[in-house]
Amino acid sequence: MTEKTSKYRSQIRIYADILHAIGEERGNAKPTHILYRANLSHDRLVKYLTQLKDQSLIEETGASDKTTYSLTDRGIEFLKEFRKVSQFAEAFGFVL
Amino acid sequence: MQAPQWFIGFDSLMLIVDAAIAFAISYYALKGYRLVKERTLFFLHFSFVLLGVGLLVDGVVTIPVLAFRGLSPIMTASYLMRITAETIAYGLLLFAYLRQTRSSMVETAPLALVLEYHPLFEIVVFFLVAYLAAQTAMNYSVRKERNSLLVFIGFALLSVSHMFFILPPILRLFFVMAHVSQLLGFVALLAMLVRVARTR
Repeated sequence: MTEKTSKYRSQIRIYADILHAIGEERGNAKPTHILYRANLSHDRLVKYLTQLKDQSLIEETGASDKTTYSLTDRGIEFLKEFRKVSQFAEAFGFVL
Repeated sequence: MQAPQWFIGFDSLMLIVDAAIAFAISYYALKGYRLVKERTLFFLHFSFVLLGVGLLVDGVVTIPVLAFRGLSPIMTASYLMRITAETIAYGLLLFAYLRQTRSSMVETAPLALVLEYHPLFEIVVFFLVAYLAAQTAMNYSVRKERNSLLVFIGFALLSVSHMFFILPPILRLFFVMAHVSQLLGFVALLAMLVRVARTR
């Protein structure tokens, strides 16, 4: 049954995937890395990165082509909680 | 109910512990729902709240009955409340599973027929929980994770307990076995919850 996951990711899952990709690079994530790891188009990535910045979950450093992203404390906490909730739901066989 | 004399009191204590664990699971599901806004988690939360309320009321009501004999109508009412709450709660959980696996509706059709032809609450609850146990077994077979295994063990023990709850008219010891397996089922769910909460 868990194989029948919806082919569309929820917004919260996309947030978590982006935060996870940024977390992997330990504060030095380039947009191309996030794009690849979170499996998003460029336009959608820009949209989600803006939303995550607005919610203070990530912060942007550098300018234009040298822009990198890192997780804020709030972002780290969100990701930690998301992983727990995801594990909890998956234990019952529910997919977020 | 048909509890052996020596077991009276232990059953209410076990029901209260079961309720506490059900509330802990419902709280965690609510916490998850608030974070991710996934409706399935809300169903999980609501069904465990119902389970907790039913178990708690039945457990607490039994205590004054021990002191003041002759309150059996109240005990019957509390039992009916618990079994109704359980039926709705497990029904909600089943709905949540079906919501995620709509394409497997055909597999559940025979189950629906069985439910229609067994009016007794305990039998209905048994089939509901047995279905949930089967779903969680399938989940474990896919994931092979310890948390999924604990949830499967939890629902399997709960279904066994409801099978035992049908049998006390035959032998009173089944009443004790039902409570023990129900408690062990909730403990398995609690173990999963503790493991998840400890995740870094």
